[in-house]
Amino acid sequence: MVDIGVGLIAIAAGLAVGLTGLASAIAEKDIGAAAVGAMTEDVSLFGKGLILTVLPETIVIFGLVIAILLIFVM
Amino acid sequence: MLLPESMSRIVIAGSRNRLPETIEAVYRLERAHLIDYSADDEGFSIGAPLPNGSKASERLLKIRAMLNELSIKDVSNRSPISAKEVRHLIESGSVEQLDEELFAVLDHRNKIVQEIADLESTAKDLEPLAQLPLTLDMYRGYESLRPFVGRVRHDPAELLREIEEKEFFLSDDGKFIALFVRKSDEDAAQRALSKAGFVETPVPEGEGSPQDMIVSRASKAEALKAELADADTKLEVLKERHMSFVASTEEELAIEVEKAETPLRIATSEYSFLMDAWVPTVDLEMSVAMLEQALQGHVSIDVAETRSRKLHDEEHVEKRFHKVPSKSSNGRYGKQFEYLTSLMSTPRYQESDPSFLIGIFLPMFFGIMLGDLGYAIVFIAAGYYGMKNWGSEEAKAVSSLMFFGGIWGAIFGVFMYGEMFGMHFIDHHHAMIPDWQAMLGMTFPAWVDNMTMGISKLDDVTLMLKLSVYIGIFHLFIGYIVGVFNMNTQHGFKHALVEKISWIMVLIGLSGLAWAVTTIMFSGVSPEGMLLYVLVVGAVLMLAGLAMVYTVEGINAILEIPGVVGNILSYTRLAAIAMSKAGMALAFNYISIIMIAGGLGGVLGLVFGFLIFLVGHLLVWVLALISCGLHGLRLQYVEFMTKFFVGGGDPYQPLRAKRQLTRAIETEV
Repeated sequence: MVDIGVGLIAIAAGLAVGLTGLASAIAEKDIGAAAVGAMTEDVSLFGKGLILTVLPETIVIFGLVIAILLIFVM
Repeated sequence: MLLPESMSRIVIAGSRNRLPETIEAVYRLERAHLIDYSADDEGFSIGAPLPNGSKASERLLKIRAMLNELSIKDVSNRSPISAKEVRHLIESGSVEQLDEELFAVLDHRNKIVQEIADLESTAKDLEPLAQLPLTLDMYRGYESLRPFVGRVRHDPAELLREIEEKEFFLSDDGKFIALFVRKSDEDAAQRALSKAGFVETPVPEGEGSPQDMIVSRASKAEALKAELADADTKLEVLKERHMSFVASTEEELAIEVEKAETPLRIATSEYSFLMDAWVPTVDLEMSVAMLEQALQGHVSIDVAETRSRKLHDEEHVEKRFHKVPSKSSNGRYGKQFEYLTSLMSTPRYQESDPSFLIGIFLPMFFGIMLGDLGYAIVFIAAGYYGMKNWGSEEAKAVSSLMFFGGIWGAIFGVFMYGEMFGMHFIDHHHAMIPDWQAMLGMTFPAWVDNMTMGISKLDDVTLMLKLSVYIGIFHLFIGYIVGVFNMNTQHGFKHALVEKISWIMVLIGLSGLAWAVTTIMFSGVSPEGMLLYVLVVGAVLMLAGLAMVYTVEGINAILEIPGVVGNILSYTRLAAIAMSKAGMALAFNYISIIMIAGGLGGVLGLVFGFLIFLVGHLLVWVLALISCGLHGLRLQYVEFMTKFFVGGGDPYQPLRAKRQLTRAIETEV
């Protein structure tokens, strides 16, 4: 029998990654669409668009860090 | 070294009839960045194009049409032709001659194509008529008869019964009809036919049976097609013979037109002209001397100013002299990363070009995240190949990132992680997958183990996270230092102190404070000695820094504190991405080595396992390029460059002839 605390940690870690992943996805969806729109007007905006699109990735990385801390440190 | 090259402004003035040779001399100098004339001074206005320009553009238009028609694309591999020779050919009217020759062939060809199309379309019209036993002249020329010729959907015999006097012919399949009725019965026939779904088709001109006409037309078309092939070979021959002439003439004429239009960017009065340009200060004396020698003192060349880096110096000059073009001086290594800076913006004249720093940190971060000798070797090879063979700027930037990132990846992979393709050289942690010792069935000598720190990305998580945060603090620190430097050059030390050094204090204070607090909280150590010292100094530094920021930014200063924390934490992506790569590699290794090669066994297991190993690691490699590259770059753009970089400068573009296919000759003017 696994300790219930371990299970809760696992759930918490999953939520941390999953929810932040969703949040990143929602943010990137809008930015990505706008970036593609801008690119159709001016192809040289590709670089800026790419950078802007990966900006919200930070959210999920924070989530991942929390999940890692939960699993490995607690 | 970080600042763009110092620039000086020169003013070239002379009488208007010297303008063409002045433009020629400035083009040959290849160092003057022309400043567009936009002011509206009394007596001066924008110049008119040189007289040779209109002829040249007319010829250029012809040549470009030829380029298009002959679909000449890439001729850059040819050895360049002398520009003098090309110009001689142009002057002797070769362009017009070739234009005539080519378009004669083209017109002829188009005519043939048109004729063939006509023949084919009438042949199509004739096809159904050939099914009826009538000659073509029988379809027309009646006074009292109205012929109906066309397709029907079904047999109209039943419907036509009420028309008494009629004659009609139906094709064998009953879908094509030729009906002849009295003109008085026209309406009735029309009604009846429309019920049968009648669609009228045109009857081609001519006499005799349609059958014969189809045959004669087909043979005519055959003959024309032979002629068409003939014209095509003629075009091909023309293309072969004149390809390099057309391409090099295009280049020469484009240069001529550009030169001829240069007066549109300078100020002219009735008898004189005035030209402003930026020249790199290091080349200033040489440039002035060269121009004076070329123009033999007929034109005056004055040095107006050598611009300092202080921003308020801009305000003392006319608006069009405000911005100074940035000629970056990053050295050979930094140059390879200029493209990445330009994706963000061109550095201003007064600020540091981040390219060199990107060149240091980006490959390093890439290496930390990659941290695997196996992938690194592939990256180095691919990057080296790309640097040698790829032409476009994007591809060059990516390949130099792969090459230098690969080198750092190998360094970290060997000395820090001791890892290749997700497997450690010597495993000290978990026995889920074998290490290279077990794979190769040998024991490595002790120095292999001593050489590497043997950090496991998946097991030493806390260490990895801490390490990335420390790297982040260091990186941000460097960013603020460059900020101090920029602020000092632009506005003086006082501004640098208040606006940038203050943030360094906040950064260091905050880091110390956070370290002390987390140590006390997690380790349960009581705050005394060293720890207490760090805690207090950190808090004081941070507050002092904040107070200084407060003087310029007001209450916003407090709102920016979480931004700094966020910036630091953002660097934990270094650990997170390293872990995710290691995790994927572990999974593929487990599947291929333990589950398939180990579980299935035998030759089949080995082959299949190896295939999975290859495909899996290829996937990880591609993902490594994307995530390590992009996230590494993002750390430069978002966290690092925002500390000092504003951008929005003009790139330095000196007037010069861009020759690829032609060769300039020094003696010609």
